[in-house]
Amino acid sequence: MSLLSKFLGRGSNEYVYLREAFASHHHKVEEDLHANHPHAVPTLEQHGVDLKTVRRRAASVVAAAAIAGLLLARPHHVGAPQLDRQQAQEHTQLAANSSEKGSAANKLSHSKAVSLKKPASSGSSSTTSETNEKPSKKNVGKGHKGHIRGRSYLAPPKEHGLHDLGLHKGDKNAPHPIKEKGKKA
Amino acid sequence: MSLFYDHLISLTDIDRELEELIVEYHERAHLLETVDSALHHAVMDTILTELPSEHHQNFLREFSIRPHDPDHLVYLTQFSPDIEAKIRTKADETKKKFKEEIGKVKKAKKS
Repeated sequence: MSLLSKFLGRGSNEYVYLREAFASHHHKVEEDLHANHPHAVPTLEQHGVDLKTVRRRAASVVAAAAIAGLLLARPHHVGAPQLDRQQAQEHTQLAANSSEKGSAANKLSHSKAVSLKKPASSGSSSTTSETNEKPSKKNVGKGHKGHIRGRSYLAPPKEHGLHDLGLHKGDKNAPHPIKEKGKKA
Repeated sequence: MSLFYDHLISLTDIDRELEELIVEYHERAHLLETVDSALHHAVMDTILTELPSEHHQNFLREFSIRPHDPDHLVYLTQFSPDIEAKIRTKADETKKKFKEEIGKVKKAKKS
């Protein structure tokens, strides 16, 4: 009997009774919503939402967001060139160098402004040459291995915050390390 | 979790009771779907009752775009601080009716 009812799509007696009872309760709740807020259902339909299938829709929205996030995190899956670890390091080094160049350009513009203020002084060219010194060969290949701009990840944060902004580099009164070495020699 | 109020309503208790009565998985799933849909209607009724009518359009539009976003609950709390409790109460009331029907079937089966 149960096999026959299964083939006919009726199901067990308990199921049939509960299906009808649940449907009538569902209908009552639906009617209540329509009676209390008649504008709600047309608005939801306008946006393509049916409360009967809202969970499926929400699941598809979440899945789409997850896929989009995954593709953004791994762009080589969408066709972007895949970078190995070494290439990625080169990219980060290039980015760091470009930012350093940017700070040097700022210094240059600042020194030009200073030289414009004092046109008579002959030592202005020498000061600009000192500030715009090229990095030594030793420092070029080093990069920043395990450090962010020369600071360890484990180092405590600087209290004044100037080191993070790179403003400490422009201290005029501080003795120049390369110049000092030359004097000693 | 796929809807922003999913953590406030649960179908596990009804599922357990149905497991005792109905063996077939697809039958249980269909019944649970009906209960779930009824709960959505009931919860939406509660939310729209608590929310001022001038904000209904805005809320329904945002809900249709992002049904899972927990910020909806934050938004609703601004208008009704105890909205979570009210959603829970309404969900329990709705589930109670379904549980009563399950109880009737259990009694009939025992006798």
